[in-house]
Amino acid sequence: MAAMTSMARDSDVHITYDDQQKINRFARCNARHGDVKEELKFKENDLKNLQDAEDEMMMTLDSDEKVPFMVGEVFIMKTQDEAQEAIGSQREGLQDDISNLNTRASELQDTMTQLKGDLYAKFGNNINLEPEEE
Amino acid sequence: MAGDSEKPLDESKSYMGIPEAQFVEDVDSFMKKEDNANAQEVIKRLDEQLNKYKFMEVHLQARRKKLKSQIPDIKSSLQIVKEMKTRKDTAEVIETRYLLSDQANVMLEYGLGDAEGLLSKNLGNATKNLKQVEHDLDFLRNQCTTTEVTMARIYNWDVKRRRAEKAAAEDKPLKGRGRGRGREFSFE
Repeated sequence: MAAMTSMARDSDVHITYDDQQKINRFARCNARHGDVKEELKFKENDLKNLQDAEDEMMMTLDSDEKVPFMVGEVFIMKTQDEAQEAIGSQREGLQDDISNLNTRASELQDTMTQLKGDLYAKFGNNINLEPEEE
Repeated sequence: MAGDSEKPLDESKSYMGIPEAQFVEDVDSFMKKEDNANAQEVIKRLDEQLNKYKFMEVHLQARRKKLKSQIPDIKSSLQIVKEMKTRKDTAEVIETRYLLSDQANVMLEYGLGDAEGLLSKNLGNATKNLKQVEHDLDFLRNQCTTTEVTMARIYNWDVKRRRAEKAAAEDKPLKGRGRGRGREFSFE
């Protein structure tokens, strides 16, 4: 997760304010990218939980049985149709979130690739912008 | 804690008034300054500054996490209130008053309309605070990165200076010596 970025070895390479801003931006994008990945993991897990809830409801309940549906911190009794509908709208919301996060992640990736190109072009081996280990 | 200004801050400012790390344009002239006679001292000073930034970062991360979990809670509470309202309109028999827990874990009773207003206001505040905290976290990250790069640059500058001094003392040419490896600073 953590990316290694290091400046080392040669003090002959002059770092301008502009370079520093680029390095900062890279580090920031990298941190953001980590956050987004993390959030994606949670959302995908939520999506899986929704699926499990749906399956469970179909398998274990009689058709006219009501289900306690958690809203915030309380359970609201819903008919299975209502619950189904609520699950559906939650799923849509999650899918939207997930696709937004994926877009964000690839935007960040693009920015990082570009910054990487600039920085390596100027500093070569004196800078290391590679991720440590996944 | 958060500022009240509505307009978003630019990248070089922080809501909490976190000080900006100084960017060193030229290490040579920076190290000629009176306070900077000893490179070790300068690095130590920067390291202390870095630790302060990191400390604030931990604090803000915790705040961000809290706000991030609060927002969906408020949203779902709002959802309940709305649900209650619709049920009220359809004349179903349901308790129409709503128990709302405030931050001190004290339960207060609100009418539905009041509850909705309060929750909406809380949601607005939480969202605004989250934005500010995230802005400050970005700001902090910049300061950390700048400080770390500056430390590395001063360290390398010092290594080079000492090598040159030694070479001069031994009256040997610098060429042919192994290049000393600079220390590497890493950050997330």
